[in-house]
Amino acid sequence: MRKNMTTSFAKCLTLWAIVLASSLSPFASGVARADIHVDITRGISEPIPVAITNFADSSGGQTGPQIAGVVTADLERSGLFRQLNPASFIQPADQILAQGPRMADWKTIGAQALVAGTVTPASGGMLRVEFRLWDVLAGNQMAGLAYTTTADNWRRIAHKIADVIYNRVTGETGYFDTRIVYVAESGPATHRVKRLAIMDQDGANHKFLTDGSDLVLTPRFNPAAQEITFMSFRNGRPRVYLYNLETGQQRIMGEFPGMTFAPRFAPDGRSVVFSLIRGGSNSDIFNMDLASRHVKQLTNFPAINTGGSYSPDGRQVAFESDRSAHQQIYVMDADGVNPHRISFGDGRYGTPVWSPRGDLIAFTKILGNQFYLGVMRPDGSGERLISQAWHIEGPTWAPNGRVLMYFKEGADGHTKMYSIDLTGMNERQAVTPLDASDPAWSPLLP
Amino acid sequence: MAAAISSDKEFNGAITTSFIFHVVLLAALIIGLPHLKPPPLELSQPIAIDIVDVGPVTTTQVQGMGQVAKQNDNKPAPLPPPPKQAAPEPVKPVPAKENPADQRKALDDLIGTEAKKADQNKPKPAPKPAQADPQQFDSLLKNLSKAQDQTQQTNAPPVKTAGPAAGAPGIQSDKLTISETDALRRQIEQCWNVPTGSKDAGDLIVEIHVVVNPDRTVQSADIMNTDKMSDPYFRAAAESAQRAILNPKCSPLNLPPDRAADWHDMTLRFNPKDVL
Repeated sequence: MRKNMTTSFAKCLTLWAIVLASSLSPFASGVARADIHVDITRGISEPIPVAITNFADSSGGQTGPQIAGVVTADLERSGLFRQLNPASFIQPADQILAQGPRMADWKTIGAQALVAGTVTPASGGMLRVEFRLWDVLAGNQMAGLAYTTTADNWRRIAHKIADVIYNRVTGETGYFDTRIVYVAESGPATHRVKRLAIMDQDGANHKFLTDGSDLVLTPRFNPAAQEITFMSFRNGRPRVYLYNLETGQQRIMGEFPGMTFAPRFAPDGRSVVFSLIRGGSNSDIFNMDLASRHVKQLTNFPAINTGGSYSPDGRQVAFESDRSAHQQIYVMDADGVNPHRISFGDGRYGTPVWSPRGDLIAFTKILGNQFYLGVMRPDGSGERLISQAWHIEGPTWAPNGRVLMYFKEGADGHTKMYSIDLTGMNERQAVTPLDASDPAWSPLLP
Repeated sequence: MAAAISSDKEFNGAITTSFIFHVVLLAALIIGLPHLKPPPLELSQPIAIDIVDVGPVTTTQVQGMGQVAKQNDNKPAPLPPPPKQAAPEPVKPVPAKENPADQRKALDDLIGTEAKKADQNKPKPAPKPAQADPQQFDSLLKNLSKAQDQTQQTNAPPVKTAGPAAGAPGIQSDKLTISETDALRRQIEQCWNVPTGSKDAGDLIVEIHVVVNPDRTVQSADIMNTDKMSDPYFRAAAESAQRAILNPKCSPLNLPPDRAADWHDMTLRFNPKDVL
């Protein structure tokens, strides 16, 4: 009996010892642990240092370095990347894909991202272009793609590679594989010659679309196709035209009893919003379905109502109106209902252009003796002025809604196009052979 | 019969003993276990300070700011007393003199020399913030209308130093050290490239779990809110925050070396609210 009691007691003691040990263990390991939280609420805004190496080319040409050059130029032009000096690169470019990047070498020179690629011949005289993007600090690959294309298409491939890198690092959709249509200007102010022109967004492959015999204005791209709409004074009649860039065909959008101007495509490309003056000086905004030719009047107010621009979801239209004595920006539903004013600052507001990203509306503003380019949210809040000049007009958004292009006119009458990031940083002049105005940014090329 | 009665007594005694033992043990667990856990680390609240010109009395040591940094890093969280604690140190290099007035004059001369040195050193960091737009210190988004308003102000805001130099273990100012938390924050701010232009950038709040080696280098920096990584904007913001911590310019982290064990694990929360 005594022996049984002793055994039971010993078992009970052992059980409690186990319970005690298991309950104490978290504390034993956690004595030195501190639960620390630090908030970081400020930072810097600088281009990301990136090392873009020459693409190794075994096709017998210079396509590899050429592609790397265009990729570098695209990313630097965005203002969000900074190419490091290639003379500082430690690891040879041709070893990176074969042996893997030596991250320590790239960290040493301050790179935060690394790009390497190869160009190799493919069947049928084609080229295979392969590239990889690495996060140097985290030490992992971020992207890797390969393209097969004809040799003369290398520029498009370079822009597509730049788009992938840009998208992967910033989260933004790319915009480098796009084109700009604009009005090339020449001659004195009294005999100004204006021609439609088109070029890649980096200025390459420039060509004229019209010969300058007719005055042309405000070309605007179809967001869904390689087509533009513009205003022309052909035969002395100011009307809206449609121009298919792939076929070269032009046609009048429609015959109207009055002057039609300020055309802009709806996001789906199936209709065009435009302004119409029917006697007098007032104008109203209309929408025309290109397939059915059905026309719907959107504004009906005795004022100058113009400059319609759709939201990317097609549900609202921003426009300019002087119904409250001065030019202001309004937003209405796509069927014309519920027009309400959104601009309330000092000065006169005009030329609203809704960002493809949906979160901002670009506009121009006259205040004092200056023109300003600005952005505001669709409810009118958060107004920021990001550029100024003697005269600024014609903002157009890149298809990713991150970059704006517009033109400035100096007091001497010369016009130049500029691009700028929506943050207001990185304003750059676009290189054109002649004076330039009224830019229109294409969607991403297919 | 007697044996049965005896075993019953023993049984009751054993039960009683067991009961008492259990009660004592439970009491010990309830009362004693909480004391095994150390009190939570109390971080001092960051003390907001204004960086102003060097005053007539400074806490710097004679040798210069580098050594001051080391001195201050060893101190606990800053409290008003430090000036008194540091005061004796500048006196050490001064040759002892019998006349207290001479000692004070010598100290004043020494301080004046250091103030001049500090003034000479000041222009070096000053041009950097001076080149930035005045409004850019408050927001990384350009706004010409705000710039116009600021140029009309008669009193320009005091030039604020950018914070600890990258990688430096201490401070640029010869003022009193702010808390270790604020020192780390100011260091990381210099390495965090804020994605200012992203859609809804103000909502891109990222948490990074950081494990720090004893030598104050980063062992790992892991993104915590991985459920949002399918959003390309969030992923870009998260990787940007991660790069800030892994940036060699911010290594080693600005932490007191002798308390690295306390900072072994931390969570950094990146919220761009103050710059948008």
